[in-house]
Order: sequence, then structure tokens, then C-alpha cells
Amino acid sequence: MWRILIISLIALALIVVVRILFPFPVSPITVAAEPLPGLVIPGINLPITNSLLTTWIAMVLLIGFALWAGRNLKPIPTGKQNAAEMLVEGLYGLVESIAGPKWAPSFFPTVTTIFLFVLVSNWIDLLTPILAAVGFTEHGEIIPILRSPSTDLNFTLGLALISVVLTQYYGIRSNGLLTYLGRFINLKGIVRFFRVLTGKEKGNAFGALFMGLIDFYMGLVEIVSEVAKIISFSFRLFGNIFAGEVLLLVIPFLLSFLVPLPFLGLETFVGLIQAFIFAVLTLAFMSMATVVHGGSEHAERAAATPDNVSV
Amino acid sequence: MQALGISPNLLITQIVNFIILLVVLRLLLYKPVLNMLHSRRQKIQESLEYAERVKAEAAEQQKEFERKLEETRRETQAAAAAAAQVGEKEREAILNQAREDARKLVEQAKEQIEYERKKMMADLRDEVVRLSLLAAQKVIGQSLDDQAHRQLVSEFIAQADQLPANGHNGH
Repeated sequence: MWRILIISLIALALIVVVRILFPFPVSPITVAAEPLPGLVIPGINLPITNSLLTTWIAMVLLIGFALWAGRNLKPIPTGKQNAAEMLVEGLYGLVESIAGPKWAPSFFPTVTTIFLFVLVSNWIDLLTPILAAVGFTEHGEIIPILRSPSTDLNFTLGLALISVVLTQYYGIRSNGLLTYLGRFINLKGIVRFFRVLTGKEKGNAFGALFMGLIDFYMGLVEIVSEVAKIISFSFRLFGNIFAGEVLLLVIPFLLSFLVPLPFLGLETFVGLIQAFIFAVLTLAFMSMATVVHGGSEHAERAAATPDNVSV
Repeated sequence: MQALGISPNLLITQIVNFIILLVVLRLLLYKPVLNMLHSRRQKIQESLEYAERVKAEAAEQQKEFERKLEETRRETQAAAAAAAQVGEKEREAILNQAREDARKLVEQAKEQIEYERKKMMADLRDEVVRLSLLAAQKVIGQSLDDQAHRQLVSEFIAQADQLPANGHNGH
């Protein structure tokens, strides 16, 4: 016990001395991910940014985990297989509890991949204080080699687009194209107004017109909300993790030792929660889209619970 | 968009990244694990059903066994009762036989005694005749014709034999 304490104190003292003797520069904080100098895939003019490189590392980590945990599955599980089963079974149970048994098999791979991908990406962000110091020097500034993908809008926006596009796909697949489009371009009320006007249907023409216009307007609002989803998805994740990165970079400049620890703990939690929110919101929106129109209000109320968590 | 670092190339690359990851994870992790969980659930269900069936069969067999045991007990009791009945009959028969034998023995003994008595009576009568003759000879002093006398005395005795009988009958 005492030995560990003494060794820790010596290590801390060494770090203090080293940092005082050899101060090293830290990269400037930029919103855009920095392209690594000289690394461009020529044919498609794709600059390899540090966050893209980290994305590939995250993918390698996840695929490595899948290879390690998903091989040689036996009916009686041991060690690593227990971990894999717990993860998959837990997430599948979550998907099934929200989407129901009919759609769970369709939603599960997407939702789980989003969760795992974002989670690994967010937790790579915890290494920021180290990553920010390792890189190329260009024009007197450091360009870090690695940067969490969640702090790159290309990554978050890409996931948001996938989430929203898949939501539309499942909505159309479940309701049919016309029914699903009718949610956005709602002409039913106006058609009813004309039927009342021509005497094919009884009722108050003015009231029918009023309700028809309101329905049509609500449809337009739905379109706006779908577009807003893309923005809220991408910027919620980006904002949270980028802020965390800035926090983890700034705090060590104020007080280098021990003080950053609570913030690392906080960021671990935030990273988990943000990954969970991204996945569960995607799941909730997909479930809502698959509900047949008449029951949509009920589904919205059901989906309100995970939405509240995101605030 | 430029200030935020969003570029179409990178955006598409990230989308492609996600799709690759989705496909690979689905192939390597989700499908095998879910299949394993599914097959295990099925196996457990089958095992439970099998156990239930075996339990039911065991209960059935237990019942059958008890039924047979009861049947055997009843048969044994019936056999014992029948045997007892047969024994009783046998005993009765033996007893009867014994009684019969005893009765016969007694009868034989009685016959024997009767015969003995008759014989003794006959001997006695002969003796009486001889003694009478002897006495008469002494009284008369001379010997009578033995044959004629014997005849005489026998008649007398026969009469004497009949007298008390007649006297009994007369009363």
C-alpha cells in the first residue's frame, strides 16, 4: 500500500520535472479535422484526415473484437463468449423492447453498429491529452496524427444521414410509398373541403377548409422535423464530444495533475451516454416510422421517453 | 461547410466506412451470436420438454406399478383364502374319517365283546351241564347213559333259559 503510494508520487514528480524541462507544444483546437500532410488518395481526391485515420482504427478495433469474441461459439459459453453474448443479447433485448419482435431483426444490426462505432469513437476521445501532442509539425503548429471521429462533422453527419435515410426506408417499407408520403404532403383535409363544397359530403365548408389547411401545414412541419433530425443528430454528438475534447485539453493546462481525473470520468460517461442516445433515437425514429399512420401519436408518446434523455 | 470541415468526399467515405463495419460486424458478430443464442434457447426448451415428458412417463409407470402391486396383493389374498378353504375341507374330511374309524373300532370291539360273552355263556352252560351230571351221578350213585342224560339236562337248561325271559316278557 505505502509502496504503491511512494512509487506513484515519484512518477508524478518525474512527470512534473519532464514537463517543466521539456515543454512541448499542443495542437491548436480546430473544428475541422486536419488533413495529414502529403496523404491524399489520388483518384478520388480524398485527403486522409486524422479523424478518418482514427475511424479506420476504430473499425479495426471493432472488427478485431468481433473476430476475437465471435469465433468458436460453443453451446456452453466461457469467458469471452459470455461477454459477446451479454453485449449482443442485451442490445437485442433493448431493440426488441422498443421496436417489437416484428422489426427488431431488421433494426438490430444498424442500431448496434451505430452504438458500438460511436462508443469506440467517443472513448478514443479520452486519449485526447496524449493524441493532441503526437503529430506532424507544419508551420510551427502540431497536426495530431489521431483525432476522435466523433469530433469530425463528416463522421457524425454521415451517421445522421444513414439514420434518417434508413428511417424513411423503413417507413416506406412498412406503410407503402403513398401512405408514407401522405404523412408529409397531407392533402386529405383539403380534398374533404372540396367534397363538402361540391355537396358530395355533408359538413361545414369553412371548418373543413380550416382543418385541411392545418393538416397540410402539419405535414410541412413533419418535413422540417425530418431535416432537423439530421442536424440534431450530427451536432448533438459532435458538440458533446468536441466540447469534451476541448475540456480535456484545457484542464491540464490549468492544473496538470489529479484535477483532470474527474473530467476523464465525466467524459467516459458522456461518451457512453451519447453513443446510447444516438442508437436509441435512431431506433425510436425507425419504430415510429413503421407505425401505421393512425397510431403514430401513440408511437410519438412512446418515443418521447428516450428523447428526454438526450437533453 | 468548409469552415466546419465538411467535404462530400469525406462524408461519403465515412458513410462507406459505416456500411463496411455494419456488414462485417453482422457477419462476424451479430449473426453467429444470435444464432447461438437462438439454438441454445431451442435446446433448453427441448430439454425442458423432454424432462417434462420423462417425468410424466415416470409418474405413469409408478401408477402402473402400484396398480400391479395391488392386483398381486389381491391375488395372493385370494389364493391364501382358497388354500385355507381347501385345508378346512381336508381337515373336515380327515376328522370325519377318524370319527368313522373310531366308530367302526368301537363297533368291532362291541361285537368282539358280545361274541366273547356268548362264547363264555356257552362254555358256562356246558360247565353247568357237566357239573349237574356229576352231581346227579353222585346223588343217584350210578352212572346214567351219558348221552341220554346230557340230552336231558340240555333241554332242562334251555327251558330254564327261557323261563326268566318269559317271566320278563310276562311283566
